[in-house]
Amino acid sequence: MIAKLGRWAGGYLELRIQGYGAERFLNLLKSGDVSFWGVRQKKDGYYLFMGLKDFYRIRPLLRKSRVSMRIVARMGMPFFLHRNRKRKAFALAVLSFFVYLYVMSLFIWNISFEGNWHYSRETLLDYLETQNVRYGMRKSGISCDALEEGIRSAFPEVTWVSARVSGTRLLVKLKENEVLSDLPEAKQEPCELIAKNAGVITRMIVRQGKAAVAVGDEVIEGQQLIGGQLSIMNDAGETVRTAYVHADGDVYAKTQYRYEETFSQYHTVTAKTGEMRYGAGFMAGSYRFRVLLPYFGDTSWNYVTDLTQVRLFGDFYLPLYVERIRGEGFVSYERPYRQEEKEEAAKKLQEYYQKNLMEKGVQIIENNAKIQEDGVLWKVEGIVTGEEQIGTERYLTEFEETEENKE
Amino acid sequence: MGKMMEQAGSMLHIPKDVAAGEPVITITGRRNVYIENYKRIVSFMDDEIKIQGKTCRITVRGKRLAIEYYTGDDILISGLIHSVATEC
Repeated sequence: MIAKLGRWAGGYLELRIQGYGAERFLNLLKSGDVSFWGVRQKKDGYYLFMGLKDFYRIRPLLRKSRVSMRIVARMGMPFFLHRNRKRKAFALAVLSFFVYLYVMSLFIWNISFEGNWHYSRETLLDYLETQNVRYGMRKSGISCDALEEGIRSAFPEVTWVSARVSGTRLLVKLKENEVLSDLPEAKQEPCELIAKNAGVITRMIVRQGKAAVAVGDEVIEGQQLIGGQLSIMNDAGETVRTAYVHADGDVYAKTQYRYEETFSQYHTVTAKTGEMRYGAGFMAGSYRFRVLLPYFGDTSWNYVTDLTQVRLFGDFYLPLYVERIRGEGFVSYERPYRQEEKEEAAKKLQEYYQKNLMEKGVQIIENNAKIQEDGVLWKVEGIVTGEEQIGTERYLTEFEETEENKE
Repeated sequence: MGKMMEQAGSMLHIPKDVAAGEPVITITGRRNVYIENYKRIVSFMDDEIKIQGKTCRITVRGKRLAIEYYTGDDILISGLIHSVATEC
């Protein structure tokens, strides 16, 4: 490959040799240290390739071996330049393309992170911004060592980091600590546990404090469940002193949630027409150029655009983006809800509320929804019954540790 | 002379091709014949190439034979090789 490129750069010729002493001529070339290649015999003589420099040296050898020679083709860069000597604009364009590539290769056009799980790409990019590392900056302005050092000290959960510039891309690889670096400390401040929701207590465990309710009790929101104030009595049943503790325990209760949503009898439906429309675009900096195939009709369109950054090879990214646009045609119109659509809507709502509650840690026991007609409107009403932890901490603000000496 | 050189070579553990200047012929499938230690081309046609080695003559027969390259020490012949024969 390299040899081929060298031959092309120096220029070479295809020659035709005719005459009785062709073999002798080849042997003379060899002993004269003339390099040539690709010798073939055809009906009208021998064909071979020879470098331009060597060509000027073979004249005496031709005479000696009494063969005739003809140049069949001229190939390589010197001939190419000669042929295209009048195409100045073309040469300029080629040259400016390479200059552009060179200039572009001096900047960062892509920043990527690998191995970040806890910290999002945006967080890391914001941090890089504070360190004056950003998209489109000079490559020479980046100090990878300083960047690694900075990331390690700014993000304590990052245990290992490697930053490197490859092509026009800054690649940051991270490893994050999988366990928390500090355990939450057990709280000691005096507090009591109160109900965050109304419900019926199903089970409870008290770890610290004094139970204020029992299983089967109905509690309202804000009611005390476990008290943080302990009275220490003597044998006579008198309070000796009052101690305040951090109330702790699990209190589960059956709770209910109601939901309702009102709908109009009419709704807008969209139907795909099956028509497709394609286009392409190009983006460089703030400049944007888009082409879409023309369409004459009154269909509405839903566009999906794929943006791809132009990459020359490997990690050589350019600040150019290519868009692929795909449009799906649709028409929209209003029509009344059908019974099955109402049921579908009710079911969706039911699932939506159930999912939300489950995310909050509520175990669902029952979930009922019903559809109610109301003239021009209709609504979905539902009740979710679930079991959940209802205790929440409320810190005691006024307390005084008292201690009375026993007589 | 050749015999003496060979014996001297084998005593000194020098490879035969170096000691006696014998040609080394490497055949790759049916496509290429590579010859080292040759002297000159005797004849060249597209179905037969004769090469003079230092101790013997090599005849390569085949179809569409061509000399890919050709330097002071080695030569690479390509084409569809039918046979390679040596004669003294």
